[in-house]
Amino acid sequence: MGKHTPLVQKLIDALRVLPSVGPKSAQRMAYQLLERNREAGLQLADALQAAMSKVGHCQRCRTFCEGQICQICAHPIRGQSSVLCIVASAADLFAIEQTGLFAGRYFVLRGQLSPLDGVGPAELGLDALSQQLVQGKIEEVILATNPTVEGEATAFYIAELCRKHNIQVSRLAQGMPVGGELEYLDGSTLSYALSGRKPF
Amino acid sequence: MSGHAVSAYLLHSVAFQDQKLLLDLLIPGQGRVRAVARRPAKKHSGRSQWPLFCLCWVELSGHSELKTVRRIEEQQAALPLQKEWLFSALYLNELICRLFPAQVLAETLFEIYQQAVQSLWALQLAADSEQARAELEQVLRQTELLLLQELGVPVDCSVDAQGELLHRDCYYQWQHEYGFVAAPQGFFGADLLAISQGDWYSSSLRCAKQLNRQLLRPLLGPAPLHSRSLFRQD
Repeated sequence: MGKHTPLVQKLIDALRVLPSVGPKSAQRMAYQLLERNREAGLQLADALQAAMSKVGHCQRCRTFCEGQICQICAHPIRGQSSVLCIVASAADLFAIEQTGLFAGRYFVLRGQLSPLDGVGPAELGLDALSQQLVQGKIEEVILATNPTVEGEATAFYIAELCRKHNIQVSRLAQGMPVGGELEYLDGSTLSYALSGRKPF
Repeated sequence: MSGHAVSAYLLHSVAFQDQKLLLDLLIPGQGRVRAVARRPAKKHSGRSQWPLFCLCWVELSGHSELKTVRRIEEQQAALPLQKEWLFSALYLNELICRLFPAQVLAETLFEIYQQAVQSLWALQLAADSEQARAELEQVLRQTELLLLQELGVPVDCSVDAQGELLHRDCYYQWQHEYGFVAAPQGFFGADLLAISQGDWYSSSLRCAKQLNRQLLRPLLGPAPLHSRSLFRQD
């Protein structure tokens, strides 16, 4: 023994494309589906097939969508909003939507500027964002990129684009996490919290 | 940290397997070193990676070229660089990673980098004028010349290929692995002499930029430096 049948091996190899799934985990998943839950396995295959072939990107904000325009961009009020929130990924868009506090629209960068990884403004497709800024319907841009060096570089680059078009720019606040303890914070986070303190 | 800890700057990190990062570190007396580290404990720090432009303590182990980071701690808070100072620091990171192979001894590289990022930070704190912009260019040009020197490509802008002192009112061209030769057009002698004396003004800065690009081109190869595009906005 010691060898899987070709189809089982193919399934294990296919499952390994998922993040955090190594050979052992992939084998466990494959066996679970084959031994105990074939119906769910077929549903998973159908869902994958449908999503891979039908989910594309919104032509306006570039988040995942099944038509040409996503629900937010197609919304009669939100789609006309003059406040644009710029996020690095569709997952970040989802996280902000979960707060229920933002009623504007989005632009999904699908990455962040990272010269050493070969990602410059052209690779990020910032020309598409620039075109939206030129159209003149946006009054405020909220920069919601990550508080990493790449996220900061992306934010500063886009802020400069906005200033050229006289668009107000804001950035998500940075500092202490809710429920955190000051003595365990690293120096960099604490210095952001200090420099970004607010009247109280 | 224990006695085996060394100072280091992180130049770049990429995901490596699920819970690890592949780091490019800059270490005093060694140069660029590649090492694998566990991701920061997200539940404590909220971080998914270690910060750039931050002087750290690192403890490394392993005898192969790829080291293992046993511990990593911030020695000082990361420099919160912004705008063109951040883009400049990213340019230096890209330049160093492209010019200096990992595990090749580069004894003064750490000090060159530290001096450069600290200068960028000082300039950002004092930034409010054209003068500050000129000084930013000066830091970049001086650092490029120091990196070339560390690579074994020292450039003496005061003498020609024969070792004769350059004339202030003549033009020169740089010939690879030979030196400056008189030419009907090219780098102006007065600007080159100013570079050699550390006398920075608009035309000596412009001259240094063109000269450094010419000197770096064969070392960088055909792939573009992506960080240069951060300075351009159409």
